[in-house]
Amino acid sequence: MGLSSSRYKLPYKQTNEPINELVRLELTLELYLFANKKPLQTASYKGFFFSQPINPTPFVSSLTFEVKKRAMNAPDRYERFVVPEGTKKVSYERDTKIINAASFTIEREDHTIGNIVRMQLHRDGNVLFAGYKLPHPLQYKIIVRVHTTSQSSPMQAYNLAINDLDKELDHLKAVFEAEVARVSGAEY
Amino acid sequence: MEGASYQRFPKVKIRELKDDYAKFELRETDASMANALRRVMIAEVPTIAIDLVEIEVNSSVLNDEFIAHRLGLIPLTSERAMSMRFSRDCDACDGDGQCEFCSVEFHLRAKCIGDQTLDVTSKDLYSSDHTVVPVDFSDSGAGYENPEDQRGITIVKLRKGQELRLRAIARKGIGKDHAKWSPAATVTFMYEPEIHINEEMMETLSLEEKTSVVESSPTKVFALNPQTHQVEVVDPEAYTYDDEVLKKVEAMGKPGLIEVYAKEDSFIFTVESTGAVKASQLVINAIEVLKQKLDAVRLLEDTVEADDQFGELGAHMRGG
Repeated sequence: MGLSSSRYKLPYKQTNEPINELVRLELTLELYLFANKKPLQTASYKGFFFSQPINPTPFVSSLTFEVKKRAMNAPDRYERFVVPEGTKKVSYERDTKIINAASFTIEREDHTIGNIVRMQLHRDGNVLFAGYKLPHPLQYKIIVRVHTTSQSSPMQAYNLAINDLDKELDHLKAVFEAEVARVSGAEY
Repeated sequence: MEGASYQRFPKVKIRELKDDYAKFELRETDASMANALRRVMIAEVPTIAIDLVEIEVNSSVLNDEFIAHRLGLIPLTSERAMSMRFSRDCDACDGDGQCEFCSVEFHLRAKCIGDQTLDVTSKDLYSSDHTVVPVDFSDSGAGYENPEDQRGITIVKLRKGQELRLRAIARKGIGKDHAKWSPAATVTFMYEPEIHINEEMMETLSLEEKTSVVESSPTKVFALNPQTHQVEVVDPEAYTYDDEVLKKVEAMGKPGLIEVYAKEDSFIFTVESTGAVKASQLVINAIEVLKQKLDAVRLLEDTVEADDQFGELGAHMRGG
């Protein structure tokens, strides 16, 4: 068990006069239980120490603790959508053996984006092949593979697909809002 | 770049619209778009929910983390959520995620004094921001006030002498992180069915056979018109794509009597919200969030230009 950090926070200035107000000291202790050098269980204790006016004797008046226990190999929940520092959201690799073919690796996305981009790429006449996969359900990224004819390039096709989807969503939003206004307006 | 566009132009028709329930038809778009909307509505539309609980006094029968868990699941009105910042992205507060821009503070003080059991409910949670409050579930427009429906969500029950005092911080989050942040109760969509009845073959059936065909469907899709003795489609959308009618028709020796097609680009959505966001607002927010996700996934300028050079070079070298 290792004591990792403690933090003191004083919101008020200290004076030598008797204090008529209550002074709050916030103390956070974070304890880590280590196994294989990875924190298995963290417990943090927050204590509020209130000082009495005449006899300043700190005592714990309230206690909160949050204990988060993670399974051994499970990643954190926010890993599903938070891109870590230093990793690019989208990167691509051209295929060395086939011309006009590339794989786009999109970090922290899933079937929601993958399927919709793939179906839009299918509509492009210049696209010979378009597919996506999740290499592993616990690795939160997708790989989109695009082959095009020589009239276009995978990058162009990808950008066109995204732009078309963006316009389609704009149209859908306008149509939906108009319909809501029509229905609610008709009720009154 | 070339002016070619493979954009679709979807159409929407709303069938039913209430505060927490919306039923609408979505046409001329793909199943992938309908599914993406459904996934985003459930998991990625942001809401506000209690995330940190500081308990001062708890002498109730439930332990601290039990009560904290229940508080987290209480739906809070989250109109502010789309414009709020995530706590982890907020630079205004000094790192503890409790400033006024990225969080809302609640407090609850309850002590049972009388002999009767005190019900601590979501109505006892007091918010520092009047736009973010626990959702009110009372039936609006009820004839007379039924006190049982208006009490709010029970958090804990206290006996005489038991007390509960706590302070809670609510933050913005998405359903992907924890289900308490999901604004949708259920979101479903189905393909719109197209049912064809072969009238000529139908003529060859006796009344009993027609009745048996009508009865073979578990849901009321067909009905026998009492005057004309014809089998009619009464409610095509009650069809749940079980093939009971088709099996019955084949067993009778008349395949092709009834044919059902699912229209591939026509969907009927049913959206039920928890009350955190209005149902219509939920769909609009989902479209907005999906747009933001697509924007994040665009190729950056530098990679495209660098490759364009190589692309042209390569094209020249290949004689293309």
